[in-house]
Amino acid sequence: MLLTVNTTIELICFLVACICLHRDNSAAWRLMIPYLALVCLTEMTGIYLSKHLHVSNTWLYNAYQYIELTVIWSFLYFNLKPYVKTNNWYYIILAALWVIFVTETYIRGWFVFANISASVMSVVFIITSLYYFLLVIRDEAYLQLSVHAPFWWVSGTLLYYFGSTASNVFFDFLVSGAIMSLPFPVRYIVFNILNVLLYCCWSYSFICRYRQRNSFSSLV
Amino acid sequence: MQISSKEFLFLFSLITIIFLIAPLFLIFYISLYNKRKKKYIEEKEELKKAFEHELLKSQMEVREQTLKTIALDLHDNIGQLLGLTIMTLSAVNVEDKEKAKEKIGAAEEFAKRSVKEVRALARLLHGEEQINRGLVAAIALELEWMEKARQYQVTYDHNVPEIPGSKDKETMLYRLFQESLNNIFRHAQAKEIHINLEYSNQRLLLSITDDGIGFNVNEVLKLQKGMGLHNLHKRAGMIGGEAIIHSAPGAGTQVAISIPYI
Repeated sequence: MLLTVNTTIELICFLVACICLHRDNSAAWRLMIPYLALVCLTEMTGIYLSKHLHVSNTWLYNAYQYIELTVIWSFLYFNLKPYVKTNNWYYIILAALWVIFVTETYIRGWFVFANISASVMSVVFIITSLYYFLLVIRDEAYLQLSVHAPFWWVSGTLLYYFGSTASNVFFDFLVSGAIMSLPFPVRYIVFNILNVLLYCCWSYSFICRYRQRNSFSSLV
Repeated sequence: MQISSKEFLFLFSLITIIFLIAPLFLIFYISLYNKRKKKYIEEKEELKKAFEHELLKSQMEVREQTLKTIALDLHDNIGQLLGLTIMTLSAVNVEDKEKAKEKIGAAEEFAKRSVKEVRALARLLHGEEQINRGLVAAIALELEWMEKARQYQVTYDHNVPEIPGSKDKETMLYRLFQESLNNIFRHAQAKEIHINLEYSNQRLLLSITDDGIGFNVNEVLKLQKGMGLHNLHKRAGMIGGEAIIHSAPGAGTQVAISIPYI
């Protein structure tokens, strides 16, 4: 069965992105459509490999993480752009994250999940999201946050990566025999909840973006 | 020390819940802060509008005051002079050349005085423009006009360097000066008026002192009689300054207005 809580919410978010963003003026927002398509594809392939072919899907998630770090970091930085002048930090941190991932994959191999790199990536995303909030607070101009698309996108990202901190820190314990033998897969449940929060926030931000574009075009 | 898988599960769940609740609180706080920001911006906008309204009102009042002075002068002064000129000229008997010469000379004198008065009025009309040239000059012109009436002995000291200030603030301060003078004319029964305008510590200080009958400041303010006094406080506050009124029955009055001025 390829449809799980994760894949369902990811598919819904992908559909919302297709409806709301396919005519968006910004290429960065339109990038969310192929990215979410890739998320759905990766998730379903991962389930297929694990449940039907009974082979490890770790290499797939390791490969996916390269795209995840590039897209999420780029989009986070895109949201910071109205407030920051230089692009130097974008390239420096992107390069640093790639170096960390390549090094961990090289040392531990493709069949061991790169959880150290994933933790570093989460920390970078959390700090950047918090920095975005700080800039929103500092900004003298008033933003109607309840319908401000970038705010909800960053909020979803912060909830997901901040919430997954404990899972990343205790990754080795969670995949150990003792925990895995529990009647319910705790890490899987946590990620289900986090995914629901993430994709709900993102879907709402896409709807806000759609409404903002429509109200703007009706004014022109 | 080893912990059981159940204890670990409890600890893990607790940490995850905390890590989920923390950003939720943060998002809630930012939304709340943003609402306050909106309120602050609205209040700022309202204050700006109120200031603009009061400034416009001050400009209108300055104009009104000038027109009143002109109307009064036309009636009491120039009108009288021209009336005398007509009367003198109509009384000229061309056959009595000696007296006719005398009367024509007197009529000429009245006409000359009328011209002088008209010129002075024209200068007063330009008084509004004087504010644009500087507060010191505008006050001097107003006092020059007042001294003509010879009812008061006026002294004016000023020590304001040439600095680019705010014309809006100067207009408001000029209006406050006019209001204070009006109060003296109407109520003070003063003989001497002293005006001092000085710049110190990035503040402009204007004080208007008279030797009139004075009044009990608190009593007048309490009885809501002193709308002019309330106006002084309100308008000085609007330009970030303050107006202090010192007075006592029989001891004259001093109005001191201080505003920030860079």
